[in-house]
Amino acid sequence: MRIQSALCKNNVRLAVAFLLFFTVISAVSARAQERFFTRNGSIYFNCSGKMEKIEAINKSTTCVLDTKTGALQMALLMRGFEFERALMQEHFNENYVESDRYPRAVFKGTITNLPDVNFSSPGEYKLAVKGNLTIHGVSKDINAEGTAVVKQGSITLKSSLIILLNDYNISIPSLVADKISNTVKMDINCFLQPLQN
Amino acid sequence: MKKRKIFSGIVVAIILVAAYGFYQYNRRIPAVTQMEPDIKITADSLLTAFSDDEKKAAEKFGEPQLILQVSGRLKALETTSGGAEIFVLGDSNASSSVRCMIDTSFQLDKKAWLPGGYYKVKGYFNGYKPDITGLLGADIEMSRCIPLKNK
Repeated sequence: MRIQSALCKNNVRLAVAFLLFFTVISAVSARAQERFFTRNGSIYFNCSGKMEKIEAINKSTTCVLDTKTGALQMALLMRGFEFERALMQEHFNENYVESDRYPRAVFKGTITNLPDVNFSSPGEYKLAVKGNLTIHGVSKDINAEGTAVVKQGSITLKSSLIILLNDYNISIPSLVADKISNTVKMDINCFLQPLQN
Repeated sequence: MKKRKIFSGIVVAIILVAAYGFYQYNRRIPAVTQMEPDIKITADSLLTAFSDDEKKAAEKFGEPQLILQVSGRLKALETTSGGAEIFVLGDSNASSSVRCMIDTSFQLDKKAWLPGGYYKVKGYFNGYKPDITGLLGADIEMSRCIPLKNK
């Protein structure tokens, strides 16, 4: 009888231990699924003037999204922008963005319509993002709109925004003013996957 | 006769300047395949140089279009959603890495490059990206890379 009682107690302890273990694992797993990231996001920009096509792409953009708080951070290296022509790439890095002095561009912001977005349910959602963009050592508050395509285990963020070069102290010499536009259109595309910590 | 010579000289000079301008305008970023690296370094040393003193390292590696040959252990071979291939070199237990985007002209046979293997990669140095989020680790980024096997 005593042996039976002891065995029963042991089984209960074992069951409680298993229950605790799975609760902790589920909590950790749920926490891990709150954050999504990529190191290979792409940002395309176009600042073509009347006379010339000027476009480049950076395929190494880091992006981290916290789906619980809506915090969104992006960072890229200016030298990671690839142009079709070497001369344009050299001028971009040396004369305009001065990538040796200001090697990185950083965006830190938040999704302002987070209650409208259900990151745990597949679908396409509209996003409104507000944050601070730093380029060429100058930080500016910006607002952007975009979409989040939520699938099982991934989120694709897409957005298009327009910035002005002179907002970031990037000046265009009058000699090439008709070749380079002061208005830059940026297309952002980030395929995010769960961040496992 | 003298005027004709001067005129011919001016025409030749204009043609040469126009040809040089045309060449410069249409010049492409050269592939690194046949180019000698400016610096040869291990992935660990490169990451340590930037994590110890970013300013000093940026001066050393700040030259535009610097070609590096980095050797290290292959942590992973990633393919982006856009189809680009990335060689990730470094310590598999560390979050920081040297990330080398492979030149699109290079036909990468994934079976020939095994994670854990020790390889060299030659490519353009793009810079150092510190860990702004505190989650991913800091990375060195390179582009137009060509992987090399140890002989």
